[in-house]
Amino acid sequence: MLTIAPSEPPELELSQVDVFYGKAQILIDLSIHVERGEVAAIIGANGAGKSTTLNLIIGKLKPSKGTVTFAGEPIAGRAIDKVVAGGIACVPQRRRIFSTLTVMENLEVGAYVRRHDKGGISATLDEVFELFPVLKRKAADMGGVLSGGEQQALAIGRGLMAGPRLLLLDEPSMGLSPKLTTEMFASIRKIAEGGRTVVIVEQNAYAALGVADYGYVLEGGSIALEGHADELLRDDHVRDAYLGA
Amino acid sequence: MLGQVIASGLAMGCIYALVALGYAYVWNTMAIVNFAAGEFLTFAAYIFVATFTMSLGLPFWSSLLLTAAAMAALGALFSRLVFARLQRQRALVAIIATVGFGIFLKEMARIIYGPEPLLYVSPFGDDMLDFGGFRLSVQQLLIMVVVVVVMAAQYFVLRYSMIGKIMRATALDRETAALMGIPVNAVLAGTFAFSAVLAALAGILLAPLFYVTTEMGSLVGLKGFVAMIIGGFGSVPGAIVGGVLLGVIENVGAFAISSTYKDAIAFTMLLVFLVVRPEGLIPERSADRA
Repeated sequence: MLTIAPSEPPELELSQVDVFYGKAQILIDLSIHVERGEVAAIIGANGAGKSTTLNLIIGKLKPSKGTVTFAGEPIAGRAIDKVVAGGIACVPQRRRIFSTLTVMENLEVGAYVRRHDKGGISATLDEVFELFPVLKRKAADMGGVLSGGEQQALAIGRGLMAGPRLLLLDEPSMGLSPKLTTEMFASIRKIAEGGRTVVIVEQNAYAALGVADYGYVLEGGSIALEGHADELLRDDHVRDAYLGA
Repeated sequence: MLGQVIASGLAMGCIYALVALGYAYVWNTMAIVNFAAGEFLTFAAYIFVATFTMSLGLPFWSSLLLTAAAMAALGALFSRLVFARLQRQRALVAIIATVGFGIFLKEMARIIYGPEPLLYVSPFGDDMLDFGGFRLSVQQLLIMVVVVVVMAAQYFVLRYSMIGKIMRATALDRETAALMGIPVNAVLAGTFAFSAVLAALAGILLAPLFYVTTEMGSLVGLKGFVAMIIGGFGSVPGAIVGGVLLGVIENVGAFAISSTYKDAIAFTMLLVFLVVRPEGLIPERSADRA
């Protein structure tokens, strides 16, 4: 008897997806494939469809064509709360900290979908505080008084509190100094090494590809180029268009 | 005598505070003013007095709980059926819908319960209690106790419970709250239901002081709105302070000048505040509305 071990389905797969906003087509025949534990970067200019891609994955938008699967299960069209409870969290662009909630309350609200799992929440809280010690020091401060870097750390921590297997990050470098950006991406790498899959959407191609395993270049709503991150970093087109080299 | 005037002003102010708090909650989470609040109060007074107390003969506290539950359901239903459909429109559309819903409630009360005013005698009697010269009726004391308990309860829920935290998060940024998996529409419906319960309590507590008529809530609803403006638009502590202050000043003013001018005094206060301190006594920090 021969048994064939079933191969693990990809953690995230977008297959030939079209997305429209009204009559405008934002994503055109987009396909993305992310393996478990991988860091994938989606780079591209403003308006290329990067945030739309994340909004599609998290369930804010529905594709008019194509499929979205997470761990082999189709998730396109599911409500956001189901998607988040199912193991995907999204760290939104511009951080969107709840300004008059304390740091701790921001984290607690992030854990809403698994509010009954006290053990899991407390383990993740330890992990978040280890990753970003500043959040522990400022746990009682209002979210709105934190600096930009601290707010980005809080936004990521809040995303982790939902206990995701897949973490989506929308422009984590926005508004951060180069030094803070480097630190932030080092933390993101650590998150992936903890066993999570990470998808980063970034205009800062250099920073994102620096920590990613695999990258996609999004142009006009479709994938212009894809490859291993180090290959993309050496690619002439990527260097000209996105790295300013 | 002045003590008496202040006591009844305090009691009335507590009623305004309840209504104002309902406005503040709805404003904070939905950015609309619920102009049906006064009619929620009227409708609640009717079902409390006519249905639960007179027709079914239930005792005070069971009638109160049933009325609160019925009004909560009505508030949630309105939010889900009407507001959820209108939230993509301009806020004005939703606000006008609340005006329309108020008229609907008032007319329903007239159709169901008839045009005759109802007399409701407080089950607690009309004894006066003496607090070292400061005399309160049992009903006035009841009003104050209920309001203090409600205010304390809402403070602790909002501050410390998960429900309170997701309400505050939803009020600050609905879109991001949804991204956290928070059922935003349910939170909004819950907020609306809570504001309906506050109006219901106001109606129940007012019923023995006035005749229950289809108009009883209109002026109280407006004065609750005045109280919120005096306290600070959308400010929770402001709603409480504004309500109590409005109640006391209009009563003392009416005592000093003439009771004919009682309502005029209340709305003059509004004008004075709009000119002198339009942000209110305890303004909501601007950071709250990112």
